[in-house]
Amino acid sequence: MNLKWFLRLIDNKYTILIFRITLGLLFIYASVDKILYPTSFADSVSSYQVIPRPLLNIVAIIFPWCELVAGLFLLNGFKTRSSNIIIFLMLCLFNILIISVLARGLQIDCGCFSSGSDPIGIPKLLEDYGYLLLSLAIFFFDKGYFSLDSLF
Amino acid sequence: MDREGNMNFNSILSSINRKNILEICLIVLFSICLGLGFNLISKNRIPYIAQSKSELYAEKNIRRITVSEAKKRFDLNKSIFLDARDAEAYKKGTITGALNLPIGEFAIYYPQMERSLSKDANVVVFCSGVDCLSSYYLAVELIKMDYNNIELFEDGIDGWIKNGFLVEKK
Repeated sequence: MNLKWFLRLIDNKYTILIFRITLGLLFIYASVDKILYPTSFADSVSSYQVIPRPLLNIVAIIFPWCELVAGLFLLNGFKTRSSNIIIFLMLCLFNILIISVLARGLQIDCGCFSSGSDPIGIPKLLEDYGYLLLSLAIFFFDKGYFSLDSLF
Repeated sequence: MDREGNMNFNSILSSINRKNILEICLIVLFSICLGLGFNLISKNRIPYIAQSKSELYAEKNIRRITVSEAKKRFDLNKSIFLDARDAEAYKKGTITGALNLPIGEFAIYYPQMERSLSKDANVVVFCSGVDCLSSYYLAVELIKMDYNNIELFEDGIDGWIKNGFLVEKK
């Protein structure tokens, strides 16, 4: 499969629409439990051992809402580029965190969707790279098909 | 893509302009307001600034116990062990005989197990380990419900497993 053919496949409005919906729904789904149960999410954040304790709760309160709002915006194609950049930056952050956990040899759960559900390991890292690719594809190829942006 | 089918990535990258940066800031600000506002009205609200553990425990006068003390309670078989983690984590492995009372769903789980939790019983609460606070919040809720013999096993399931004690999967 040569690169041009691959680019043409991605540069298709339906492909990008599927990517947008997938990533949007994923972030919405990921945020719900964290918003409803901030204590459990604060525990998950704490287990990464990167954020000072006084800041744990505020991160646990705000971060899931960033996921939800960015996910909703991306799903509806509202401020698509900006919400996608936020999602891309969050995915980069997850990536760095996963690598740091692996490097430190910590055996913790990801807390990505609901706490205690997902151990951190190489599969989680690869999954994150997959989402990063979706986000990059949306960034470079989205033309606003079936989006609120195209209405305004 | 241009006419030859080549992407001009540089021009796309340089198209991140001030408008995008402003929108990103507004989206983040909007999320911050929603998060702070929702936490005010949520049943499961948490303090905005997390206190240190020693401050928290001292404030509520919660007794903490070590792994060996927890093991003694376990062997005597007179204490009730309560796992404050969510059901999924509980099912993956918990202290043998421990009951599950996830702090996030306290209002749902507590009425179901209220009868089996005598107010005078020695209740040992725990979560995943020294980094988690779910057990603390569970202890606070139980104290509010007039349980007067609550002990917090701070090393949690991690400490229990490290010492090679009995664990069961549900």
